[in-house]
Amino acid sequence: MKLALVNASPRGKKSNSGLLLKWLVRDLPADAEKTLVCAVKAEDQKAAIGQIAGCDALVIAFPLYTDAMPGITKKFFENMMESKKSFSGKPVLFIIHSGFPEAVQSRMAERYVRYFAGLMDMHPAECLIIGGTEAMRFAPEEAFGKRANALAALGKKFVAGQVLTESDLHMPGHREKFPRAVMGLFNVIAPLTDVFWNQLLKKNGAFKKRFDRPYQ
Amino acid sequence: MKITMINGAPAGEWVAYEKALERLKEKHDVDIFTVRDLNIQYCIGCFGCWVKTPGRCVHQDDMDAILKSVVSADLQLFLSPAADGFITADTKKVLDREIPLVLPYIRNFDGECHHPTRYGKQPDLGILLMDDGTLDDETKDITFSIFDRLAKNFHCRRMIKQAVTAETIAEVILNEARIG
Repeated sequence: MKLALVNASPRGKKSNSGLLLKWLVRDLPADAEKTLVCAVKAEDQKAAIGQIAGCDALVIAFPLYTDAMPGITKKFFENMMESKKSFSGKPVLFIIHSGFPEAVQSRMAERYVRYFAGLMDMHPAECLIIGGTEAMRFAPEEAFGKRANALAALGKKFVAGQVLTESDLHMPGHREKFPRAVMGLFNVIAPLTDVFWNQLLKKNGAFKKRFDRPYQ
Repeated sequence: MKITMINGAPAGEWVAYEKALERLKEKHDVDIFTVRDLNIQYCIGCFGCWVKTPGRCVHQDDMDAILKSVVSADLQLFLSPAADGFITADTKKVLDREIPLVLPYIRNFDGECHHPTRYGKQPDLGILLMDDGTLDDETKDITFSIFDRLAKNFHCRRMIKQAVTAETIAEVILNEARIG
């Protein structure tokens, strides 16, 4: 099995997408053949697609940007379509992750990637949605042990060609949408979550400008 | 009405649509941005526009002019042909670069987490899919559904979603402007 891993994050190698892919392949046999490519530069994408054209299965990971794939990821999809024959008939797993905690934010993007897989004649097509990934940049990997373990188990099943169940595709802490009561409570605690962003603003000497309107 | 129009079509076959847009300028204050002719970098997800230079992207490019137009617009319209089931990468990269229009903070809006706006009132939002006869229903529905979510995230009062031809595009926009 030749597995292609596409890190389709604009942040490239140091992205959350990269970390999720690392966890996904963590428990694969040592002799499993893996090719990892990045899609971060439009001019390099066709060469990257050439590198993975001989794969048996693909995993494509990207963050949610303005309710869909990032622009550079869309460019990658457009370039992939030009090499449709290389991917036709192959299984694909999409990983869509987001800073938002709820999966509902990514469901329309999921609908798109499933449609895209159909246009590419790639099957079966699976999609994993993971919320709340932005915190992964600022905490040690050990803090996300359950998520890493669940991804590693999913990776093994995908590579083995096993059918992925709904429970495989729900990472620990998965929330489709929060109940009304929880969101009511969120109204009270939301300002506390500002601390994360305010710390970054202060570190950059930009806290006083946080509400600036430079184009008005 | 002040309209900001983002045209994400590639060069060539869509020129009849672009000519039709000129009619709008007779009745409205319209800024048309043709992405393929502009220097606009892809968003790199650095969040500099939130935590380093609030409201401004780290890229210094033609996106400045678009954002300046959007913050004073009544209506922002995206115009794109379908490319593999969705808007073009050129159209999407402009959308991505609009995150300086919201704040990094998260609040509860209608039971979901969303970012508050940086500028208060947001213009109405529209997506016009250019239909050359090959546009399929699934592409339309997926694209419109994603824009529905965008309208939520950007706190837009009204959302316009239409498939248009070169013959109908100007009339569709004029009608929507009348309603707005």
